[in-house]
Amino acid sequence: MIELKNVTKSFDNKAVLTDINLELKNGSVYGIAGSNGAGKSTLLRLITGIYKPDKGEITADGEPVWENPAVKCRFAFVPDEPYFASGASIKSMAETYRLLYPSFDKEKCLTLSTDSGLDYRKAISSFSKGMKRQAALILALSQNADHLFFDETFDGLDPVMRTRFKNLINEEVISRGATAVITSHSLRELEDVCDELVIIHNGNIVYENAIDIIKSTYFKVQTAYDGPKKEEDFEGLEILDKSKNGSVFELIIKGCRAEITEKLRKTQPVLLDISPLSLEEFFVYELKTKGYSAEPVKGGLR
Amino acid sequence: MKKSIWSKGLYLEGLRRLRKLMITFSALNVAFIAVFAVITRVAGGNTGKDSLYLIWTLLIFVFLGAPALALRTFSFHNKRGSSDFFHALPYTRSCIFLSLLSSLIVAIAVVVAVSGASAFAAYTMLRAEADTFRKIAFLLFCFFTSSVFTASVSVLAASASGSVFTELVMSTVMMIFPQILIYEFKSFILSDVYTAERDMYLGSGSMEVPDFFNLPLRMLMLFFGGNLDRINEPFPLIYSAVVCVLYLIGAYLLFRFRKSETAGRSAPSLKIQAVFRVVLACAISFIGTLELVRSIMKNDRNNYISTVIVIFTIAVIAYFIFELISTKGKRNILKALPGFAVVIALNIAFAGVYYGVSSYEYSFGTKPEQISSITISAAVKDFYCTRTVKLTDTAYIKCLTDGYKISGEDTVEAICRNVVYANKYGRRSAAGHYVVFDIRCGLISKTRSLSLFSDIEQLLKEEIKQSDAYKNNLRSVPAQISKRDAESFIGISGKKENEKISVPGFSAVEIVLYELRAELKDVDADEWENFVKSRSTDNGLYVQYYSVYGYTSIPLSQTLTPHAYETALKAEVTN
Repeated sequence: MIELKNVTKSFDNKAVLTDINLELKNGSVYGIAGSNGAGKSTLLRLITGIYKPDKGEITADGEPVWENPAVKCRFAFVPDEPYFASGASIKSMAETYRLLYPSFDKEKCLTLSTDSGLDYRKAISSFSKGMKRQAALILALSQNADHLFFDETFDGLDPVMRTRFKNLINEEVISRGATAVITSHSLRELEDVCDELVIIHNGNIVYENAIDIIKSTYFKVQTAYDGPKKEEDFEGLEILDKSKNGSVFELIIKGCRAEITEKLRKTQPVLLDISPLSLEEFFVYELKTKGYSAEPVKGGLR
Repeated sequence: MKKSIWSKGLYLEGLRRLRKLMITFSALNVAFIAVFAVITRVAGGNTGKDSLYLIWTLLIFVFLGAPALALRTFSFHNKRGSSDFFHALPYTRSCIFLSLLSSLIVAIAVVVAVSGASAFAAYTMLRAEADTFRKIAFLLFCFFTSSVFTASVSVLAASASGSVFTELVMSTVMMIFPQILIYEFKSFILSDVYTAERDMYLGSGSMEVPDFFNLPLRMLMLFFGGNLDRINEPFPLIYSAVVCVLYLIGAYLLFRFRKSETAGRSAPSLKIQAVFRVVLACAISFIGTLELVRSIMKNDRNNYISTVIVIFTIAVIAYFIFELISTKGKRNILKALPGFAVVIALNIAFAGVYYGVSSYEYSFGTKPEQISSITISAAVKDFYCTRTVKLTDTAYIKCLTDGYKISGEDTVEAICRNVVYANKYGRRSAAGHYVVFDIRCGLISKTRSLSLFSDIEQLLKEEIKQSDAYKNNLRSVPAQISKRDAESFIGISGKKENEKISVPGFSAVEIVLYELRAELKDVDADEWENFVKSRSTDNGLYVQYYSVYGYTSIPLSQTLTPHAYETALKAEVTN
């Protein structure tokens, strides 16, 4: 398990992450989402021991990560800008990884490359952006690491390859009990592959829970009525957000689906549609509560 | 995986990163050497076969190749992707630095070795003398040390910065600036302070080669000055090795504590960025400040003022241009403006230091009781031999005055009196004679020199003449140390070259010296001195050989040393 306790990181005296506490359990896939500049990439670099926290402690299975080769050799990290030596092919990069990572599996690398249709001997610099990301993923997966970290790695992949690599990551997690942490702006992608969601905003963790819990406890409700309705009509429902579009109310309600349905039926709606909140909707809602919203600024763009 | 300070994997990866550059520089050197060897063979025949110029193409490697290898080794600081890759590796920072540094040093050694091997092959083809091969071996060692030195400067710059431009600028400044500054500072004081000795402020240096102690710059100066043989001076080698180690320790500490999030940035922090631009501006402006203070002190503003204005203008431009290029932000120029006050303050402080040091030297005085010893400079040959015996008289005079200490109270007092006077009025004796004296003030020892003014000269003559040590020296004859027959001969000055010299060799000269020593025991010192001084350059018999003082020539007298004279004459007749 990877544990972050009161981790703070600043750049040029500007706080990027403040007092972060987080536990990443083995055998899970974590998705980290957040607003632009929220500190997702910084968080991954802190966890992987690239950055040193200004305050706090990061441990993996009780061992500190910073300057600890025994821990770092169990990590594989694919940054948003993967590094390839000048003129290198996957083959030569595999050779480099073999020298630097004791558990690197060259055969696995060759197999994954072949299966992905990537030329093992061709210069990576001649690859497309997506192919470069595939190459970086293949090299990382061939490390046979216990903890895998991907920083917006899937953003450049086509849907087929995205699915393929997600499956590969799931295989690693299931077969070897590995931990995978993925940052992305695409909540849809995280929804498919992740077990847990962490939302970061302004350097703080604003939400952390299992994705299944979000899907089973947060609902989007569309409802309409013949006449006006009072607040008291909705008593007993935990309404998190409310908006009106014409005669249709749009509500975000937390709770048990059956109970929500039953209570809303009692209000005699002419229209009632209840669906689980998508991660994207949940993300927008969560950040809206923190003052980060997609609504236009008042007075702007007249 | 244990913590270790060196990793074979990282070392090999370092070599892989340097492979292309290593091959390129090796190939260039081999090609240069081969082409020059062929040209030497075709054009010069045997004349250029021992010329050391063949191997000096390695100088290009010292100044361009080694820094390029160093910057390449640590170039991962310049991009976030590569920085993340290296800092995510399961190795400690110390291990990464030391492993990559070892690959850098090995890469330098490989290029020097390959070039050296091709040079040996070329000189073998040219049938060079054995001595040439010895010199090449030593030169290769110097090239290697110089290359590691220039590489260490770049490693230090690369550890402090994350942009190629800043690394190049800082490497150049660190490489050249301290040396230029020391040279300027020292040369100004040496030229203005009359009692100053050349070993003041960081050791001695020759007039032909400026006091560049760092080996690469010294090698460059020697190359262009045509003084290749002087490369065997030990001080620059030791100095460079020590500075190189200090640079690498500095680089290690910067690397060890560097924040990896500063990858790609000109400096790890705004403060260090400020330090960079201040150092650059000071490197240029200090020279202008030296000129300015000197011109004020000498009251000679007209000659210097245009130079000073040009230098200061360059410093200002460099300060802001550096900021503009390294941070790629026009706004940063305005932000950097207040920092220029630091440059001005440092220049004022530096001016104060120079003024203080030169004022101290100008007004330098000493008391007789502080003078621990006074020795006559070996250059005062004329003082003893008004009509010089040409060729080798310096060695003999050196022998006469070797270790001689002046202690006469009158002489010491006269020297003390004249020290202040000499500095104040810039007085020098016309003949350029001087004495060197050591001053001990508590634990500090200083050496100064003083031109021989007529009053001191007279006192010295009297004192020396009365000295038993001088008389003993005068009557002793230094032994031959070279047994090579060609270096021991008897000559008669004044005749044509082909008539005057006989070469009886070591044994015959040894017999003459034996006779001379025996006879000098009974010869009056004054008479012998007068004979040596008044000896005509014409028709004089002399014996010349190689002693501990170098080539030594001693005249022989028909009346004072008749046995030696006869023995020498017979030796000449015999041969």
